Amino acid sequence: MSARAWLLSDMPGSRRQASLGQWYRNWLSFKGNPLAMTGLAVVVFLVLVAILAPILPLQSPTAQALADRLQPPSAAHWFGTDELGRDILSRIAWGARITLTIVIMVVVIVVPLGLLVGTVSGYVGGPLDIVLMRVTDIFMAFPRLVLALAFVAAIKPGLESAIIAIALTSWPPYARIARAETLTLRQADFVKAARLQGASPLRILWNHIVPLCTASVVVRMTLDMAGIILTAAGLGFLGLGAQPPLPEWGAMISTGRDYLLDQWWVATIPGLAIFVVSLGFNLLGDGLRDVLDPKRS
Amino acid sequence: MSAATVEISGLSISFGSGVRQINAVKDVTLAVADGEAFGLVGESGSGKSTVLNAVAGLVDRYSGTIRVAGEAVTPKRSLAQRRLVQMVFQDPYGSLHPRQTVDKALSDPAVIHGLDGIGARVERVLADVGLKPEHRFRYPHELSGGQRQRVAIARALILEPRILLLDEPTSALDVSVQAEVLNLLRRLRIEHGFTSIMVSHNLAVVSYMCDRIAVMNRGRVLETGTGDALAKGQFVHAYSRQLFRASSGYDRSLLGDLWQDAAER
Amino acid sequence: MSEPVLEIRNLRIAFPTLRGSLEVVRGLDLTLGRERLGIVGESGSGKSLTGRAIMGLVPPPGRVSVDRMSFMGEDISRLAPADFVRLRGRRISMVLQDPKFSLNPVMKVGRQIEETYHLHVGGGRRQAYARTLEVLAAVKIRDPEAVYHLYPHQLSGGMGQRVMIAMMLIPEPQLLIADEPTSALDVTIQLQVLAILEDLVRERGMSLIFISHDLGLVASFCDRVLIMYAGKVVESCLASELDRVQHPYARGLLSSVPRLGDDRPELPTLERDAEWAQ
Repeated sequence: MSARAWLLSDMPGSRRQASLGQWYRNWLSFKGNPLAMTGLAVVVFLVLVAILAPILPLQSPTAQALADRLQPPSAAHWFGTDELGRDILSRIAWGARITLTIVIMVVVIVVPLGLLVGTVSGYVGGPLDIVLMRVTDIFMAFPRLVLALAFVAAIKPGLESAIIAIALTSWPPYARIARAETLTLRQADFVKAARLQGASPLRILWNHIVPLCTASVVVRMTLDMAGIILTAAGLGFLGLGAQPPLPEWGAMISTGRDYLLDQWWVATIPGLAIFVVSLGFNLLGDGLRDVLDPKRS
Repeated sequence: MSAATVEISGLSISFGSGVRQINAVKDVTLAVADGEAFGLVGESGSGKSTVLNAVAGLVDRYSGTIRVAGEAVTPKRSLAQRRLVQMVFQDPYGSLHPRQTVDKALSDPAVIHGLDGIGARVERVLADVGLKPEHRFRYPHELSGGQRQRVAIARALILEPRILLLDEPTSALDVSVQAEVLNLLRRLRIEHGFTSIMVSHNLAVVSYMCDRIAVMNRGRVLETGTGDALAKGQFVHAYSRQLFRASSGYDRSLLGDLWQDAAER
Repeated sequence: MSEPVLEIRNLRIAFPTLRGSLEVVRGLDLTLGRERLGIVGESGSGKSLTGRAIMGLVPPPGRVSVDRMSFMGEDISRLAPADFVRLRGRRISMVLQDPKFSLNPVMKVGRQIEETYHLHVGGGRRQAYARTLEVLAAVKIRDPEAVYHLYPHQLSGGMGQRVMIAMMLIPEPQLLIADEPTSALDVTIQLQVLAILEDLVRERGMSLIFISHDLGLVASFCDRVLIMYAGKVVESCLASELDRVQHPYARGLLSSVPRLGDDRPELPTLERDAEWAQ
């Protein structure tokens, strides 16, 4: 029996086969969406570049060559060089690592935090719900970049502070989504059935509610990714994110600004990188939503 | 007749507060004997489902007492008390977790109660409700409405409850599928000997399935009688008679009384 | 019999799927006079889509093909969408199962009915208001002026369905298609809604297509019944002669419903025969 037939079997022989089959079907329907596949390709490319940056035949992203400063794109420097003669291609590739670090760290903090606050708040209800939601409201009331700015300024500028600042300002919408979903799910018959069976609240949250909220939170996350990348770049641009000489894309734009009129590539190339990656995440998120959204069918 | 397994006395339930307060159930007293098939009929808003939910322990606040198997119970129940009472819901689409296989839905309760030989239990209960082994690892969306309802019944039965609560178990199903599920429920009751309480708006279904029936309207139990009496139209309360006649098909002559009644609502 | 109100020959509705095109309605013929016609079938039989096809409301990507579909002698099978709009609502109306989804939740019901009047009849505000009260009274609403000022969520299910019917009556359609209009209602309320429909048919000479899964109800309410299975009409008879139907599917449907006073130890279930779908 071929792997495909095994995955698409109408009569799976184990829970694992059923769940893998489900994934495979989702993949098949995702694959049919060319835009989503483009997004996935961009994201996969970003990840590959970030992982492979140290072993790719690139020049050092920090090696200065003042004789070669502000070279236009050429065979030797595909994307040209910046004001210190550093190869922009190499800086973009290494910058991908920074962008990816920020993205992953923010996801790792925001998704569990949002899910935790939202599902607990929605399921338990009562005073706890009110307290948690007011806290969420307070965080939501701040403009994201301003709060991040204040936070970074209060500790010290740097990559870690940028990550924490972005995470701090982006979890509330996830808590809101998770809470809204939990409120409807709490009334669902399958949750009532679980209560009847004697399942503990923790078990109900973990087994029944969290898996159903995760899909929409993940979709929202991929759609938000562009915003996160932009915020990170914005912080970098203002000199509050990753510090020089780290090749952060936003910081690269910031320095390139001085040469925008005569040496356009210095600021434009990192700008394009931010644009392409943000777009890629957005397309991926759209595609994921079509496949995963529980409200779809 | 042996002692009552479910005894409800003076049960009142209200939702909301102040001017928005809705008194869903008003002073309901019922006793269901061991092994009996009991039915609750009424229209929407009669409070029949709320009574059922209270027996199941899904209503947090009520006044009055509920005794299950001789023991007074509250909304907070022990595992052993939970195991006694299981329920089948109306909507076969909403009562199964969309991302869980049948196997997971059926094993979970057994895991919670620490039962042994879960795999064998799942196989047995699937066969019991007329599903094939091939259905075991399917997701709900890969099953028909009737099959889902069978899974929901299986999930309730895997804990071997003494009381099975049925909340409009067939009203979302096509009539031919309804017949299959009703037959299944009758057969299971004979084989397992559980007590059942069925809620429905369909008089014919309730009288076919139940030994004894209570008619509810606006939160109150109007009268209780045997299924035969209901089927023959021997219920005496004016509302019960109206319900009986309205259920027998379209009949213009009934309308005079009904308009009168509608004006009061 | 005079000229039929609606005549359909060989109606087919297909939906594209991953495994090729799936025909949901397969060659349906229908002739409707001034009568109440019931279409009965289980979910997936194609009964609702048939009703929608008459209204030109089959959702995409569904494809409709028909050899002949004529309404009051006029061929409507090849109408441009714009012309369908003229027909729809004005001469053919449809009432759906749940009024909650068909009414605008933030608009007084009276205003919504008036809007229908402006759309189909035109005329001034005062006429619209008068006509609105008139149709509300026609569906036996006791205090039309009070109901005029209510919002949809303030209506009970039966009241909502009556308002929907009132709205359909504004342009005085010649054909009303009712798709499960009472299945969300309590039996006693259901009776009232049916009585209103009956009066409309009798007093205004309207034709009615009543789509339902409830064979017993259709039998007691309609003049004639079509029974659909897998996209085809398997049986057509007078409602009064329903007990004498021949087709095994129709017989199965009839016998699988428990009746008051039923003492059969087991309900007969349908053994579906692949041949029925041929």
